[in-house]
Parts: sequence; structure tokens; C-alpha cells
Amino acid sequence: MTSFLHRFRAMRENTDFLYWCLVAKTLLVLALILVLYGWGTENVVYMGF
Amino acid sequence: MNLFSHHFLVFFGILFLAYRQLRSVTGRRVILTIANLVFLLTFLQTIKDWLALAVFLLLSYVMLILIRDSWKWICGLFIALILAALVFFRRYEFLGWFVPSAALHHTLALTGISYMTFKAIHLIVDQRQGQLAPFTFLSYLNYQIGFFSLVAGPIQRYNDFFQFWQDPGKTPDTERDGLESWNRMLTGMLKLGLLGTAAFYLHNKARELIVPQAGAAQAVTALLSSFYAYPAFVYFNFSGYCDVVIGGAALLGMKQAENFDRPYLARNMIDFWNRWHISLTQWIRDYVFNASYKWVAERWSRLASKAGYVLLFTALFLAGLWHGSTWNFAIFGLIHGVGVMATQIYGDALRAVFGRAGVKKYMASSWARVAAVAVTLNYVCFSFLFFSPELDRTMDMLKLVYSKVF
Repeated sequence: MTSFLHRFRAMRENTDFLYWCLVAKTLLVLALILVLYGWGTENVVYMGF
Repeated sequence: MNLFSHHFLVFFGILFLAYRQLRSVTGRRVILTIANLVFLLTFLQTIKDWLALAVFLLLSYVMLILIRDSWKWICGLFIALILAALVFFRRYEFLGWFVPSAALHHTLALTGISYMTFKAIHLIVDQRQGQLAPFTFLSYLNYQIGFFSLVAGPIQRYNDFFQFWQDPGKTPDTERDGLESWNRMLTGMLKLGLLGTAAFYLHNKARELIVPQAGAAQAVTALLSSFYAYPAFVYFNFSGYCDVVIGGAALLGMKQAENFDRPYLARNMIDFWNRWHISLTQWIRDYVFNASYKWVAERWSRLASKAGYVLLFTALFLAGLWHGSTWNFAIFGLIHGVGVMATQIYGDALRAVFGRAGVKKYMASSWARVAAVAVTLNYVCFSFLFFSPELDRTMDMLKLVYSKVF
């Protein structure tokens, strides 16, 4: 586990890796928005005070 | 506007592009003001709500100017008026005991009133102490209604905001900083939309399984699933929201306060509040606990240490109560107030019995740490049973599981 975290932190030092993370996260967020809003907005709970 | 939505992505995308194109300070201030008002427009939909907002902001601005212009003696009255506005708009259920019910059944809604109240009190107190940076109506307005901290914090301090407002052109220094900020924003959206939604779904499904026909094993398993899933949902939802606004603000060159630091790894309740909603804890510490403790210590110095326990309880009880207007939040506040007070008493007792060296040794023990984290986590999860406004349903559920087991 510690070794995995070390490797992950080392990978994060690489700017190209951050770009790939950005692309992957963007695609995942867009896919989730499509799924959740298609499913019904009541599934996205939003807290505010 | 939900931060996990295509609406927010479009809104922020347009703001980011326009902000990057504009080079002048005035241009960037204008575009931010427009963005803040557009964001508010998605929450305040009637003229009455807008009027209520205008009255609140104008009156609190006038109070600030009066205090700046030597009306320092009236500070207490102004704070009382601002708190009265909070109580009026939040429609606290317990007020039914003291005021006519008609006063609680109005339809006015003021999004962000909680955070605007915190900020207004911070401005008034700091201005009275002569510690506030200069302000204009536009800086005050954008500080109060800034969409990055309007709905769920973090509670930004005015002097930090003013640093940004003076020169809103400093976007991330390096390509890497920009990438980190975009990544943080998207991580927040994934916490909100994926992890938070999954935890909430699990919590709801588990509750549906706690029915009179269920066996003891099913009822206990479902209760435990809900017991841990709901705090997970609150954490992912709230910290995800903060990641989105902290990352988004950084992309426009604004530094927002950090609000979470692995809170479920806290080893006691004081540690928990130093890791959970950090900006609220700091606000409560500065403007409730420290202020009241100083007041007591100046008058009754012998009582100060004992009074400290009571004031600690009161501060955290109020912090819990603030989260919502229904009775369940009073119970939530009570549990946290007792937890924090007990932690302080226990810590003082340990120091008295074992001395500082003994306590240091105890704190360094990994077994003690694991046990303390487990107890704190379960205590916090227990308090979250009362965070959900469906108090009757929670009590029925607990009674049902109790009757199945015993």
C-alpha cells in the first residue's frame, strides 16, 4: 500500500500524467452527468446551508 | 445551480474564458460581479427574495460604515440584528416557543444567509478592532455574494479576499498549478457525483430494508450500512463541493481557505473539528469561544478554566445547531458539544494524572491511536444519525432494530 502511494506520488510529479488525469476525469464527469441527469436529477443530492 | 451539473460546467467555462481574455482590473471585477449575480439568479427567483437580499446587504454595509466612522459602541446591537436576520430567514423550529408562529411561516428564502451572516459578523468585529482591510461597496458585495463560498463555504476572511480583489489578474503561476487546480475541481465533481451519490444511494437502500418483516440479521446489517454510508455521503458531498470551489477559485487567482483534512482519521472530537469544516471551526473559535472566554476570564479569572468547558460545549452546540433549523440539529449539536467538552476534560485529567511526558508517550502509542480513531469515528457516525432531518424516521428505525435484537 505504502509502495503504491509512493509510486502514485512519483507519477503525479509528471506533468503528462496530470494531463491524462484531467482528460480521464473530464470524460468520467461528462459521462456521469449524462447518466445521472438522464436517470433523474433527484439522484444528485446537493447540500447547502 | 448544482455544482455537479452541465449548467455549472458551461457557467464556469464561460467565466474562465472571459476572465482570461480581459486584461484590465476593472474588466475582471465587472465580469466577476456579473458571474456572482447570475449564480444567485439560479437560487433567488422572486422579486421578494431579491428585495430581502438587497435589504440585508445594504443594512449590513451601512452598519460597517458606521462602525468604521467611530460608532464602535453600537457593535453589539448590530451583531444582534444580523443574528436576528439569520434566525428569521432560517425559521428555526424551536422559535415556535417564543414568537408567534406567523413569524415563522413566511415564504422568504435567502440563499447563502448563513455564510453571509458569518461574514457580516467577521467584518463588523474586525472593523471594530481596526484589523479590516479597506472596503468599497463593490468589494463588500462581491465578498458577500461570491459564488465560490456562498452556498456551503469555506468561510473566507475579508483580508484574504481583498488581496485578490486588489489585483484579480494573478491566474495560476505555472502550467502545473493550473493543471492541479483543474484536476482538483474535477476530483471534487467526482466526489459529488460519483462517491457522494453512491453513498447516498446505499444509505437509502439500506434504510428501505429496515422494515417490520425483516429478520434481526437483515435489520442490523442494514442499520450498520446506513450508519456508515450517510457520514460517507456527507463527507464526499461537502468536501467535493469545497474541492470544486477551491480549485475553481484558484483558476481565477483567488485563494480559498482549506476546509477538510481527512476528518474521519481524527483521534478525538477536538481533533475532528480541527479537520472538519475547518473554516467554520476557526470562525467559531475566533468569534464565539475566544470572545466569550476572554469576557469571562476578565471578570472571573478563578472560574475561567471551569467556564472554558462550558463555553467549549456552547460553541460546538451552536455550531451543530447552525447546520439546520429542525430539532434534529439541536441533538446533533448536543452530541458534538458533549464530545468536545468530554475530550477537553479527559485530556486535562490525563495530564494531571500522568504528567506531560506520560501523555506524550500515550499519544505516541499506535494502539492508542487506532483505538482513539475508531471510537471517534463511531461517535461521529452516531451523531450523523441526527443530521438527517427525518428524525421521526430515524427514531422508528432505531426502535425497530432494537426490538429485533433484544
